[in-house]
Amino acid sequence: MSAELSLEELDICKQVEVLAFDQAGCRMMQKKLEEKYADKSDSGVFAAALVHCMLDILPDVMTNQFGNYLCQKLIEVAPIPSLKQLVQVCLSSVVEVSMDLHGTRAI
Amino acid sequence: MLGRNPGALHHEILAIGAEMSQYIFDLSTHPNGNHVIQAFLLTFKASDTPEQGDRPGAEAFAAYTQFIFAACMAYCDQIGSDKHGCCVMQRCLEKGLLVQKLALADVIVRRIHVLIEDPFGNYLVQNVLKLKNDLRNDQILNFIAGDFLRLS
Repeated sequence: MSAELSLEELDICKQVEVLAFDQAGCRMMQKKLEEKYADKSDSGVFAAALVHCMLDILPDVMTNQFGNYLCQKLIEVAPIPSLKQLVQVCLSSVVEVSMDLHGTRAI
Repeated sequence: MLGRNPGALHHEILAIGAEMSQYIFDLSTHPNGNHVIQAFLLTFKASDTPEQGDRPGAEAFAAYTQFIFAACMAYCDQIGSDKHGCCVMQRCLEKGLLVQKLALADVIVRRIHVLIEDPFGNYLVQNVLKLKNDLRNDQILNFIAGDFLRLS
């Protein structure tokens, strides 16, 4: 998977646990995801890699005031297998996140 | 997300529904949670307004929304008389399959003596009238006729 990621994207994935809770970081990642999604020749590997790196922190990101926007964007552009992974890790906290002010939007 | 590709994510949708099904009452009456339940109903809608019939192919959505209808029927009084819950039940009466709408209407008609005078529940009775189902309308009109002056 990493063979297709640029160095910059690899860097983002490594730092995602910090960036996902930061306003500028979230904006930057959303913009990148949008650009990639608009490019028809893109394989969606960046979105898939991001989901993979965030699996452990997804419920926390969803309830974050900035992170919930990133999650909404990811859900919009990520390939189906990544969405399945995402649902699986969020399943046990879906009720709790639904009742959260920010989480409700991501769910 | 769920609306993007219901076929490919069939199991995921059912899994989310199963996880939520025990908490429909809490979610429906919660200021943030009720929007998630409404999103479910809007994504898997079979019609737009109470009097509309089912869209072609909408039967497949019944599995995705039935757990919401089941909870609304089981906790009709409590959800129906809640500020947020009554919005969820109004969506049910607008977006559900005809069989689901009629089953929910039957429960509302049975609890009409509680709901008709409730600040939120009265909207549900109005929505049942909008179904334009003669049998349910007769039952509602009979009830109102029996206590017309006081209710007016």
